[in-house]
Amino acid sequence: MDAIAGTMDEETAVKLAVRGDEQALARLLRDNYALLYRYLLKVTMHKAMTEDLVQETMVKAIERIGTFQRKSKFSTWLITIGTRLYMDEMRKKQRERKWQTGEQALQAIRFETALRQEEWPEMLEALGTLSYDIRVPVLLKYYYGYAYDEIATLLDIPLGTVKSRLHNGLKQLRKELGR
Amino acid sequence: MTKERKDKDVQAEKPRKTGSNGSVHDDNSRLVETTTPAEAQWEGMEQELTAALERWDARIEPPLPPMAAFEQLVGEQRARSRNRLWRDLFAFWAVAALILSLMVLVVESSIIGFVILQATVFVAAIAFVATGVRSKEEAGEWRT
Repeated sequence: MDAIAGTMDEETAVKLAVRGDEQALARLLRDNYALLYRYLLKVTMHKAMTEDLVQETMVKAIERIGTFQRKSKFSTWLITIGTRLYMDEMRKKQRERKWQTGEQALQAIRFETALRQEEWPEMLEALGTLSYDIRVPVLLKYYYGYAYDEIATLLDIPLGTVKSRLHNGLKQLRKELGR
Repeated sequence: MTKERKDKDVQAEKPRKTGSNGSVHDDNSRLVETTTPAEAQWEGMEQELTAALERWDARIEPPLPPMAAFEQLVGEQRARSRNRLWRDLFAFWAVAALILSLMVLVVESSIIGFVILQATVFVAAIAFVATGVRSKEEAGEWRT
C-alpha cells in the first residue's frame, strides 16, 4: 500500500484503517500526533503525563479502530480517548507515585518558558489552578470550540454537569485573576 | 497549529451576549443587542484566555517520531492483540472441553445433580452478563 503515504485524504485513510490497513492507521496517528500532544499538554499541564497519555491513547486507538463509526473526525475520536484516559488516571489517585505532582510539573513548564525569555501569562497560571474536571471542559469549550452537548458526549457526563462546571470554572478564573 | 478549533466542523458557540435581560429597543423599535457588565467582562477574559493559549500552543514543540515508529507501533500492537485473541480462544476451548466432560460425567452419575448444576450455571451466567453490561456502561465506549 505504497500509495497511501502520498496524497490520500483523511476520509479514505480512515476507511482503510477501520478495515484493518496498518499503514493507513499509522499515517492517521502520525498526522494527529501533534494535535493530540498539544491538546493533552494544555489539559494536563504536565509534560511527563502528556507523553504517557499520548502513547496510551495511540495504543487504545489501535486496539479500538475497528469500533470507530466515523460519525466524528478522527482527531475528535483521539481527543475523546485521551480525555477519558486522563480523567480515569486522575480518578485513580495513584498519579503521585507515577508522575511528579501537578505543581512541580507546572513549575517545569514555567521554567521552560522562562528559558525562552518569554512570560508565563497570569491567565494560564489561573487556568492551572482549576481542578482537572473543570479545566477540561473550559478548554474544550473556549479554546477548541466544542458545543455543550459535544462536551457532554466527549466526557460522558450529563449536559447540566458540563454547564455547571463551566460556570464554576469561569467563577474561579475571575477569582484567581482578582476581577 | 494556532487554532485546533479550526479542525472542528462545529464553530465555537460563543457565550450568549443577548437575551431577555440584555436586549433593548432603540427609537425605531429595532432590537439592539446589549451586553451586561458581567458578560463584557467574560468576553474580555475569554479573549485573553484564547490569546494566552494560542501563544502557548505556538511554543509547544511535540517530539514527533518518524513514520517508521508509528508503523512499528501499529504492527506490534496488532500482533499483540492477535496473540491475545488466540490465547483467549485456546483458553475458551480448553475450559469448554473441561465443562462438557464434567457435564457428561454428572449426567451419567445423577440426573438431579445435573439439574441443580444447570440451574446454578444459568443464574451465574445471568449475573455475569448483568455485571458486564453495567461496567461497560460505566466505562463508556469510544465509538464516535
